[in-house]
Amino acid sequence: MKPSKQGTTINPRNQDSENKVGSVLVVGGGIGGIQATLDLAESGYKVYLIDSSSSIGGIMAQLDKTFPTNDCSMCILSPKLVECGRHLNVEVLTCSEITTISGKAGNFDVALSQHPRYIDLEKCTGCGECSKFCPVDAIDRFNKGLTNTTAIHIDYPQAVPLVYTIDREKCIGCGLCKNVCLADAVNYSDKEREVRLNVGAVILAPGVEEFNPNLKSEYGYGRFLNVVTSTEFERILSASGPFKGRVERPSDGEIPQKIAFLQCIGSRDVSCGNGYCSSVCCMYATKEAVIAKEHMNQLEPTIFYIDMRAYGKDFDKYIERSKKEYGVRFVRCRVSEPLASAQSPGLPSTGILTRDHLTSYGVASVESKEGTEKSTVSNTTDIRIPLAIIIFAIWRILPLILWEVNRGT
Amino acid sequence: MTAYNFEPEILGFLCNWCSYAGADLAGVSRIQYPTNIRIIRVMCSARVDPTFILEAFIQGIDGVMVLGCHLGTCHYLTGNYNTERRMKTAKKVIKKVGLDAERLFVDWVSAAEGERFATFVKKFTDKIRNLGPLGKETAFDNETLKSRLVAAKEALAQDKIRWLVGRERELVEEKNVFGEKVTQEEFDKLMHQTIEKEFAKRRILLSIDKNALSVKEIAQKLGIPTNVVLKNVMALESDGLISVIGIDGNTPKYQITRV
Amino acid sequence: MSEVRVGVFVCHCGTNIGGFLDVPELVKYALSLPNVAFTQENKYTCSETGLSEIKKAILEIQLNRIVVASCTPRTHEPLFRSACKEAGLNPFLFQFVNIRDQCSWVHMHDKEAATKKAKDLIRMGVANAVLLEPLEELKIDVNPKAVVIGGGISGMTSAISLANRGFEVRLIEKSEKLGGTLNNLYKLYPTQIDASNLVTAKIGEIEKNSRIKVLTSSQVLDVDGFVGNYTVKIKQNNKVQNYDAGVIIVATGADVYKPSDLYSYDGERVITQLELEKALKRGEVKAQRIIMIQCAGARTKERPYCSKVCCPTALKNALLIKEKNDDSQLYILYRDMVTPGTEFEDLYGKAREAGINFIKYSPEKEPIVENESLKVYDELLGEELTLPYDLVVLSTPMVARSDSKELAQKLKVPVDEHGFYLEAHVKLRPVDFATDGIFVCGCAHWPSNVDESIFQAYGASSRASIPMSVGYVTTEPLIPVVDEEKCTGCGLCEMNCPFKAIKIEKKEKGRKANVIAASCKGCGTCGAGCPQKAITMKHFTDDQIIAQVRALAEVTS
Repeated sequence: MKPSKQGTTINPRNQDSENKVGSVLVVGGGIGGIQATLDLAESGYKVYLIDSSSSIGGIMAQLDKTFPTNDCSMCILSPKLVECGRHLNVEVLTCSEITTISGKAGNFDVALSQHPRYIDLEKCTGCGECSKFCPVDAIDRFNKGLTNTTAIHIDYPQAVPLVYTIDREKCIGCGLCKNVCLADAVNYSDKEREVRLNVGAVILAPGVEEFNPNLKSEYGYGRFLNVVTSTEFERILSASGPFKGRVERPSDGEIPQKIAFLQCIGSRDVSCGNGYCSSVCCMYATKEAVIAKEHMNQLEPTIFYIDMRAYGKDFDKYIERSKKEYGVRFVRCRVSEPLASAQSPGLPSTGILTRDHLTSYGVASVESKEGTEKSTVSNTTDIRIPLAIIIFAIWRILPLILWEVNRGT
Repeated sequence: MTAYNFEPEILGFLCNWCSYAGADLAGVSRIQYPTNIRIIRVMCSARVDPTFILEAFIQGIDGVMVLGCHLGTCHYLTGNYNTERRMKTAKKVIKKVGLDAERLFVDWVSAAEGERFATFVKKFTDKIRNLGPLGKETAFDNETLKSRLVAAKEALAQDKIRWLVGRERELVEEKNVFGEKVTQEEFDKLMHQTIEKEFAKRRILLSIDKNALSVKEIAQKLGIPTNVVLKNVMALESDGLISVIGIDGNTPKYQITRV
Repeated sequence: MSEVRVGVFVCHCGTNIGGFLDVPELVKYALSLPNVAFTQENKYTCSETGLSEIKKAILEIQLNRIVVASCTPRTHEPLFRSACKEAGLNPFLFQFVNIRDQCSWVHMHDKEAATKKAKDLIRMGVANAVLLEPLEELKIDVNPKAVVIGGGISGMTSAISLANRGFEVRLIEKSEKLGGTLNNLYKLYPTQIDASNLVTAKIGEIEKNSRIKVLTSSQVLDVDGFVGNYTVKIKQNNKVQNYDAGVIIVATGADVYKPSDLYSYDGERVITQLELEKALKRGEVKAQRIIMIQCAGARTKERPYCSKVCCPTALKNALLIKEKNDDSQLYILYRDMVTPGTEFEDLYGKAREAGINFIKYSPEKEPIVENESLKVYDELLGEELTLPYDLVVLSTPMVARSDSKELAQKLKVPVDEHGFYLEAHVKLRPVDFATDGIFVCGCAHWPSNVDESIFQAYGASSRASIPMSVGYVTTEPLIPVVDEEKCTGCGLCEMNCPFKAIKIEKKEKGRKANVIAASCKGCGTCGAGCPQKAITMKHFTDDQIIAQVRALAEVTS
């Protein structure tokens, strides 16, 4: 095939092309929004990628590894982030939320509200001098509150755009960052602004939110420091997280012995309004157990589940590997609540209330491994096991309807 | 430079997508490590030809690191499986030369493992510092060591070893043209023999580079038994690489065939 | 060869480099290197000012190589390459030296040693730059036509999707009619719509669309070419014809395992879920006492995977039977009930409420099907149960089509250990193959529900439409170049290339390796392994790398 110097461009042959705008608005800069953006941009469309936070990346940027390949999440995400930042057809609008949409398929008018980050996007080089000197601590939301960051900060080192943001709520307005900034990028008079866009189509990819563990207070979230959610655990596992990849207990920084993963907390649970199955938790709990063990071989992870749902490609294989190669234990039972153990004050232990048979089946092995707990197993229905960390595994779909779409006639 | 303040020279080959990015992350995270290492960037660790490693040693570099993506996560899918096998062979050849094969370090670093990269560099630099300057572990003088290294590099540039290295995976893990699997032992044995032979041939060629020599003279110069030299000389003659320049009494003398 | 004139720009990067290395010293040093005609230090080389300095120097000083010593090529190489291009210099004559992320930032407390390291790196960079050659990215036209192999729900959906975008599609179906597995299904879960209605609707859309040409009773005999330029040889009845296409979509579906060796399967009293489906469609299910066994032949050593669709299918069929006949007694024997998501979990709840019984069994104690009754050990109850039955339904897994491997070889794409097509990356590129221009969707890839097969079909056609929309693909400039004098046609390069981008072809001088630039990714594995050293890797040549090694070892003055 002879290569040609100038390619022939074929335009999509839509007969009815009047008043059709050749741009697309993608709402949400997680991996779904990013992939849609890149595919459209490659095809020749102009894409506006908006996100309410200060950088794109979404949940995937917070993960350590992905199942079933155990790929490093940031490593496979980061080239896509860079591409979004560089692609001539893509305009990334962060700190942005939609206020109104009107119009019809082919021609939408969108009003966005962009809240200020107080840093000039064109000037900031992401060097980090400002954060080095900032005297004010702020909760690091990216790290799920496990550490603090500074009032002027960036979510993570590979963020796109690589531009810092000031958390106005925490910032005391001391003016130091402006003085130390080498690129003169700080702008305290930055204001909320409105951006208007005219697009042909809108793709909604707002992602999900984690279930609020406080709604199931019997599991001790908030009461025990060592009861964490799955995203918190992902940050604990991350090499770029608060503990640099060492699996440590939030209560005292010690490396835990046993980790319990409690599945279906807040899902398959009509009592808190979520009767559905969250689909991904069986797999990601297994992944977290495997990765935790890879980081620290002495850990003993146990997953307490109702049904193991490993239906995707290579998923079942992953579960079997986790059992055989990593020694992850799977116990089919519903944990009732963690109790403070007299043996180890400050650490939660769990009483598993089960029927007789399950007690002797599932728990006996823990007991014999454990050795420190004296309680007899076979006939009792109530076993206490000191556990270091209990992890929830649930997601909840963020309500999609955030605004009214006014359709014209 | 005295033995007390020997600072090794380290060369690293890093792949664009994983280890080079990991090294960048170490920088972004301001993780400090010794200044001895110099990095050459390649797109994939599979770009690293074993002859590059030998060239580094020929140039006097004390230690070489080759870092790629974790197996199964190579940006080019299967590149690093090639790296693994090639570097394994390179180590065998380095050992044959007489150097400590630990002077070649091969491992996997992902783009998120800045800390791991720095730790590897620190540990490797320490190790080489303890091993001493290149060749300290051998009894060879500089000239002999260099000529052995050059012979090794040329052996690795020849088709025999390169072909075997490239075919190893399929032969050992899947099947040969007869549908049979070759055992790792069988393969390793063949590779061992091939390395011996190719290395000897190249050393012989180097030994007669300036002057024509007889089999006995070559044997003495190189410290290889005469019958082994003879076998390889015959092979080289069939290859057309050397020829008899003349017979001195009862002793044929061989020289490199110049075109 | 004209004189090589290198310009070296050393960046301060604010204080990120300047605060830890002696930048003026580096600039002075760079000027002392051979072939260096110009040096400059910049506060931020990547700023507008820095970039215009580079462009100015190229034009005024007639520089033909640019070296920037600053942060990292992973973020800034494209930027500087563009700057060179704008000044009329081939972008591949640009060289990056990393003296920040891999120098100043990691050696913050030893200025002397760090500066010496930076000198070495600059010296290596200049040595490399001198050997760089201009490279072109070629554009290869893409044929805006698609071939879709397989006329089931995913094949039909992707054909319609591509045709709606304006591309011509050839839809190839092995059997006499479109519809695939849907033709054998009764109602679809969770909506309970008729499968046949869905098929009729899709066929209607296809018939209305003049861009889709359907070829039934047709098989793919051979596939040749590369992205944008495929030729597919198709046999319809006894006629053979070639069709050209830019992209190919594989939508060949899967079969349902027939367990001749399990649970006393006889096709009459012990049947598969698919056979039950057919019987339900014909209204022939009269049995009262029905037991369904999940994971029949799945999650075993022979087929160690979960087939995803069987649990919802069993629930659906059980509910259908119960709704028709409230007196029926239904048992579902399961290992794990796999009903992910909102609607399937709902279905499970409904089934329980309808009075369908669920018994958990363990793979170590499989149920035993006897003549009149079935014995199963209930794990939750802790007892063995004996259940009389009229009908036993085995939920067997989907398995790859028996000819999937054969077609895969013709397409030169891989299959996994179960025979399902192997995608480029299970997370990042689930509908692509590593070979550009070929895509996969539906059960050919992995057991899927109907809605998933449809989503994947949309995904595959979206991905397939990218090269066709653009109209061309750009070739990788970092390609191998084969010296045919040295090449012996041994084929090692072809065997080891993951992208099928180098092939042995018969040429005048014999068997020689031939590079397919459109498919190459520039990894260099062929070059590093070629037994004859007949391959030169553009932009990362052996000479360049050796030059860097030698430059490093040079004693600095």
